[in-house]
Amino acid sequence: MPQIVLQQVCKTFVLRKRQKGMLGAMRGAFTREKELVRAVRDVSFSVEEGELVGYIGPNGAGKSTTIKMMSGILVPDSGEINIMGRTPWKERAAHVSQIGVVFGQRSQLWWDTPVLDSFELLRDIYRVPQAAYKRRLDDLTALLDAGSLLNTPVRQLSLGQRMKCELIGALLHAPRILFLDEPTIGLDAVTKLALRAFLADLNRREGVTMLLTTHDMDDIEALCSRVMVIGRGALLFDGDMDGLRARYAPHRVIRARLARPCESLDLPEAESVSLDGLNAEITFLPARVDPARLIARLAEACPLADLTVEAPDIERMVARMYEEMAL
Amino acid sequence: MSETFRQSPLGLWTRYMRIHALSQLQYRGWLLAMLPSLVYVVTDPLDAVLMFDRFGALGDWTASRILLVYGLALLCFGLAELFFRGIDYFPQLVRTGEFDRLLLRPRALLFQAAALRFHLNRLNRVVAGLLLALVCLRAEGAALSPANAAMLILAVIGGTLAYAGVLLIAAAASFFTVGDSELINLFTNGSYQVAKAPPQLLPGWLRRAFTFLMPMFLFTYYPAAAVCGWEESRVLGWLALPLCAAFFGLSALLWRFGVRHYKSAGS
Amino acid sequence: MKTRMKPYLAIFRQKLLSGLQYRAGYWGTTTTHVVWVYMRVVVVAIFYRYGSGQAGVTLSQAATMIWLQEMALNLMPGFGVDFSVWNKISKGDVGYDLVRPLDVYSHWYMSALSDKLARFLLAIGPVVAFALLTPGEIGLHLSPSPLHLLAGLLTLATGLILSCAVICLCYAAQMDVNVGDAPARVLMIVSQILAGSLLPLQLWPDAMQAFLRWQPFAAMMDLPLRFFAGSAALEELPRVLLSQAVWGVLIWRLGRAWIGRSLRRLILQGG
Repeated sequence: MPQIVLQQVCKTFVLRKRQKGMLGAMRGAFTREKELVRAVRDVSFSVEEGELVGYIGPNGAGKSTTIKMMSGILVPDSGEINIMGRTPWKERAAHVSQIGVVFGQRSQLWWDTPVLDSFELLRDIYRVPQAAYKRRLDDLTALLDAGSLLNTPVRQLSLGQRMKCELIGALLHAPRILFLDEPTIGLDAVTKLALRAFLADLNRREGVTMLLTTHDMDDIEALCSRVMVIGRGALLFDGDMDGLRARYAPHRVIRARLARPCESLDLPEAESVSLDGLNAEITFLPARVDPARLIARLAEACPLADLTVEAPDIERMVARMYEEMAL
Repeated sequence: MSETFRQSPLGLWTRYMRIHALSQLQYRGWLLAMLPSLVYVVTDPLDAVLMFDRFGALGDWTASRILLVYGLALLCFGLAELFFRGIDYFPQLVRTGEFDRLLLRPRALLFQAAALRFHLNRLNRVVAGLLLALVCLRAEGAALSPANAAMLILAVIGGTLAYAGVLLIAAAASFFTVGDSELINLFTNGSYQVAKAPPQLLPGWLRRAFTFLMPMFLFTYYPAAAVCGWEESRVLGWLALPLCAAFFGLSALLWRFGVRHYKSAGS
Repeated sequence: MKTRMKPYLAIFRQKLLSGLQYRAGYWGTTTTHVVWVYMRVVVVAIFYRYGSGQAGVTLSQAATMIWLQEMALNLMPGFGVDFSVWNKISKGDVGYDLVRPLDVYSHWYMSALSDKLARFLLAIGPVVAFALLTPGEIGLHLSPSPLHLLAGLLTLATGLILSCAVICLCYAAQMDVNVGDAPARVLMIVSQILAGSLLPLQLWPDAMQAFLRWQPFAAMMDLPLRFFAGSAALEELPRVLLSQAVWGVLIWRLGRAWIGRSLRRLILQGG
């Protein structure tokens, strides 16, 4: 049985609307309109132990709600969730001692005291034996190069340093599953790379299952073998990165610089051809045309000075995808 | 510290308190920061003193009698705040979503909530209440036999539980409403305002509200009366702890209900 | 002038709006205050009925003053602090206010004024309704004459000018003392008590009456409320206004100088 199974999970929120202006506020003191928001509808998927899954979607699509339901914080209106044989919200304590959660925008460390104090408290909260704790802490601090941070009060840490400590805190009890909600938000490029390397390594060595939400597509490309896309509460895609491209950005673009001006280009296999002086731009579907043949045809028609074949920029692809969802 | 103790609820609670205290001691001037609350606690019963000064005793009721009841209430509230302070922060916690963090940890929620906050200045109320009660017991000429001392201690434990119950009910309410309601102040700070007058002379509904609804007179007046010999049944003095514990139990049920609502409705 | 007032009108409007918007908070707060003040009045009434001493004011006058306090407290320092300024100072985050094209003291003074006024207006309705509904001597009683009412309103308004100066003095204390906000908080608690919040000042010991009447804080609340309740004669009016004017100017100048000094030091140290 897969480690994580969601079956037709639904969650609806009731929002109370505020009215604008002085009159609205006065009316609001007595009545208020309600609005139903279907945050998650009929989401089903399963994750095997040791998978590294990216969970993406625009803001408000239902990512956090799904993660909250999987961590036992929220109870779905309908549907089943089974994680390591348990229903999260029914056996909360047993469930959460097997998972780790990192919220990029929130801290689980105690603000005013040295990091080590927080870790020791977490050790006791999760009932980690001292010997195991010591070994674990040494390992994690070595891997993240965080040894020098342990005696610093949390409030004096930079965002990147703090995130390293948040990760250590979430992993002290050696969880089998790690949920990461926007772990790289606001971090500089170097720290991002270090965190990604750490997560990939942890996944490889310990087989920890990871599910991460992010807006940074580089995170997904670097880490995740599998991507799930959620939009307006519904699961729209579940597969690998190539599959995502094939589905949402199947086109390739040939940019060619011609050796001499050319009257016209006639390439019926291409989806579109545009010609601007010496620059030609040809869009095609690799699924329908063999790229090598297309390039040969192009070279036949016109001598070439330079040529590149480009896949669409993934960030742009996702932006387009999100735009489509909003329609 | 042995590992078993460290991981037990009591050990963990001590650890929580240690980390809270440490973070407050990190700031220079923490001693001075306790001053405003001290001024507030000390001046609060001043109106009762001034009224006795102007109007004299109310029948059998002298200033020391009133202040004994008041002091016991203050002590219990102070202890409740000391041990269960975190519960008071619940409305805030629910609004900011920080409550999620508690749900992610494999420990009893009530325990985590109680240990969430600690303020050194809450000691003011405990010390002031204790001193006031002791001075007034002396002034009333109470015989502190072992039985009497036991009754008072049990009553104070009961009172602490009762105030903790009130905080729990407020926490439960915060799962349902957005703005943090001040109503609960009536049963915390408000309760020892009521203790500034003899219960027999209060309007009936007010006396009943603070005996049966929020059992403040149960854990202050009746034990004090039994110990000082104010012609009340001694049995009532012994009832404080069981009845207050029942009150706490009911509040805890309400709170659980609130948690379930939170998890099903979301934030 | 009109454009200079604009920011403060906006603050005032914002306070009113947010006060109304938190519906649950609004009704909860109002109910709490009404029941709270009722309990206070009941306790005082018990002393009048069963005690043997004499007081310079009647029970109905004392009750009226206590009911009115519940609204007037909204005009006092510390009662629902304007946390936007308070927190800014606590975090040492006053830099923003320095770059605005406004005088810092006037800015804080005016935002305190609009904050207090908005809170006051929001509290009037329910408290007056409940107070009038409370039967007998412990309810709210009408002023003995329209002139008493006018004198009360006038001195409450001029008292607000003094009260906001005290609030700014609290800000000054908070800014200067770098050990936290404790001294400012103590100043607030003491000023409230001496304004009569614990007990109308006329119920304090007779020997203290002269001192109580002339200390600055009485003029913010207790003295104006005496006119409403009829526990002070109209002849007292000039004396109250004089006390407000003298203390108002003194505290205003003190707060202004103090804040100015702290700001200059802040600029020199580079925040």
